[in-house]
Amino acid sequence: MLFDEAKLMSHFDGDKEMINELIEVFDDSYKESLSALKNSLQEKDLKKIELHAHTLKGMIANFFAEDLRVAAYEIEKMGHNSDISGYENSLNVLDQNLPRLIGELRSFCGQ
Amino acid sequence: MGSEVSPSKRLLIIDDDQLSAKITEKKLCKQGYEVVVLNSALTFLESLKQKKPVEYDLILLDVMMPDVSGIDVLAEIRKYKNNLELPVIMVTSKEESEGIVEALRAGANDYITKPLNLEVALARIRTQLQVKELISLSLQSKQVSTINTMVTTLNHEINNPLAIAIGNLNICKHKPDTARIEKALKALDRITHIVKKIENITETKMEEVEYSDDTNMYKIK
Repeated sequence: MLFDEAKLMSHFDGDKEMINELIEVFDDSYKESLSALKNSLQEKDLKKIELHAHTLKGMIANFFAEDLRVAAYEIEKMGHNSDISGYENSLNVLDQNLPRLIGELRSFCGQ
Repeated sequence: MGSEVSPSKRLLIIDDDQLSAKITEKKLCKQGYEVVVLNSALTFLESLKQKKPVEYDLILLDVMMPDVSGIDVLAEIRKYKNNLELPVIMVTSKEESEGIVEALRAGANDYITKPLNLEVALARIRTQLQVKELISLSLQSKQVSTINTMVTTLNHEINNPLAIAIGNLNICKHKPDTARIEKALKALDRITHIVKKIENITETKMEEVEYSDDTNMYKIK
């Protein structure tokens, strides 16, 4: 599991209907942010890298997917510290696991 | 928990992250708050600059946003509304300790971290709303006290010469007397003088003195 089920249920007071609705918002929002992050990495725009990684980190944190949150935070720090060398590993974690996270969340909520 | 909240309280969430804003909105709505979400601060800043009335009791403001940073938004808000008139709680990620200090220095009332812990957020929101309400009640009480003092002043300052004028004129109805008419005119002059001072009340020098055991009055100088 990419997310902490217990924390998620506690955070949303066990309201799977609400979580379901938010998964759909997450699905749209993360794609937009991830795409913006990739563009800013290509352009080496450090400020935007920090910002988009930060936004992505915040979204992921809502679902308690700690490894993915840390990956986003790593890229945010790289942007902040003006050194993006080795960002590929963290980006791969996000790229490969965000769709998986959505799938796991949907399955957890009985979609 | 919901029963402790006044349903009329309007909260504004300013956060570019639509997902986090939506989660916060849903949680606070469940508690009985009326919540408005803006994904950009620009429209709100524009309405502040145009001096439009602020329709919100409290703002939850994200620190890191693309168009304009939360700290800059806060600084703009504080040009128009102080932290007693419009409480602002900053919303940060747990790694943003530098931003928190900066925000508190810039006039933030408090901060909460994402992902939102509902109990903590509600406690902090309620505290700020209660402080705001207490200050508002204290100001209202001060205004009522000022009005009472003014009424006492008017009674005292106008009633005395009015009684002199009426008394002298009543006597003159039966027995005309130039000296009494002069006295009445002088008393009416005094009233005219007082009314003019009241018209220019902000320029009039006054001293609050005790009138009776439980009432004060202003001494018009």
